[in-house]
Amino acid sequence: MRSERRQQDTSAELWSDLEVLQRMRRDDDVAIREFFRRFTPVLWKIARQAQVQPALRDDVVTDCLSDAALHLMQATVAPPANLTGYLIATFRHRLANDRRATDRRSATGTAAAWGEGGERVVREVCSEASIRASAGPAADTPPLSPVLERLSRVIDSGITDDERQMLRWVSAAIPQRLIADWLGITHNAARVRVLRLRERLIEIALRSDVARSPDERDELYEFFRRSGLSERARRALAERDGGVPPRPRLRRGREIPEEDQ
Amino acid sequence: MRYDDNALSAPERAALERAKDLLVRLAGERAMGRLDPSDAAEARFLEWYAREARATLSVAEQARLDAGADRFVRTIRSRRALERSRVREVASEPESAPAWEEGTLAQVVAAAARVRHAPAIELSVAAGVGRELWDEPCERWIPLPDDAPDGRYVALRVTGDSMVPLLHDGDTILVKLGEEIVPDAVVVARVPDGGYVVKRVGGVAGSRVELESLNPDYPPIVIARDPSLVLGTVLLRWCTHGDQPVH
Repeated sequence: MRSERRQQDTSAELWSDLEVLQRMRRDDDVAIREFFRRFTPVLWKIARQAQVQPALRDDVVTDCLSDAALHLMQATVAPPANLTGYLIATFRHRLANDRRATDRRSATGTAAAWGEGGERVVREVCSEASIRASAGPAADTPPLSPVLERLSRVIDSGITDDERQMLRWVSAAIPQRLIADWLGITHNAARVRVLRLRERLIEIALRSDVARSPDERDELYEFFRRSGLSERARRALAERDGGVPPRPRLRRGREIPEEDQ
Repeated sequence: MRYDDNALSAPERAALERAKDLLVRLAGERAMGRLDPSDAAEARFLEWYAREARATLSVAEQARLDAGADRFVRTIRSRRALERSRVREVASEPESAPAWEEGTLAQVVAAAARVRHAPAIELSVAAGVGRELWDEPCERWIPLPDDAPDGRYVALRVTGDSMVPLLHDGDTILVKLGEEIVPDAVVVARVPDGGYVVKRVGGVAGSRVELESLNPDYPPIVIARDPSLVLGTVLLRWCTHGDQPVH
């Protein structure tokens, strides 16, 4: 029976998103299972990016997926053209709503919430898991330091929409062959575009003036050095700050070897 | 600056490669945050992204995904069932009066039906083993709601959380006796050796009836399709748990 089911599940992987939905509407267990397996991993990833606590990710994702599944299984609901996008949008929306609800709840004050039935409303709107998720601090991805946060914002505002799209593809490690395919260009042209994008990021990053103290300047330089840009960064920083080279950095008594000369 | 192979020196290319990691990751995270998932131009990317996420799960994540899938199916089935099961809710304790006639359920059920009442039995369904419901004494009768069709009824108290979110521990249910079993109905059945349980009819196939709990933590039960094993169908619940969270 187990192996029979595994066979069913494997063939379900080949169904299109639309086919999965249509089968789910007929209460097909294999399709419901495939829906869960197909979309849970990507929502886990999004939850990680949104800094939901690891212990709560599974529950938050499952809650959202089951609500979405029940909604989409209604015969009167038109199936979304882009199911993955729809689910990611729904999930983000929900995380944002949970956060807002929690903020509002703590702002209103516990007494008022109980008095006006506010507590009940919040409880009905979000699951236990999502309340806890939005209340707790992120666990495994530490937030960026202020200077790197500023750097990432400067880079983001310095690139075009097309470059941003390409950046998403590159940071998701999409093979260049696929990029070429999607853009309808040759493999070599795609490679050149990726290189150009990287060079553009480097240019904006080195030109940016985001350090607000000598410590931040050192941190920034350290970031560039670890990116393999120490020579160019030294030159750029020294040029801008009137010839003062960044201080060499020691960490826990051990010297970090230079990556390039 | 030109970007063909000859224009870049080897160290330059290596530097670009290394820069990819930190700088692309730093900028890429923000770019991902600004992705508009409903943008049709991103559909191919998102599909690839979802497939890649699935293909690159760790062993532990894969195990969690497998375990979660079966539970997910049970959750969806039970919530679909909840939408379809038509068990009316009355958000109060039932009114009840002292029994007009004393006796066991078997003795009074017909008399109560004549005056549109349901004998109430304190014995909980899903509670423990082996007591025969028909031999229980009934000290109180509950008047039938006006919209309940004529017929023989019994009122029982629910124990346990196997039918959450439909029925909670302590709810009272009104059971119409001797109804035909239909899929999706909520019934009280007698499980050999297990006493009485309240469950949803998942499916009726040949000589077997599958009884499902709405709480996905409980596995389904299969009983023989034997009218004497099914007491009746739940029409209504008296529930005072509306103010509390379900969990």
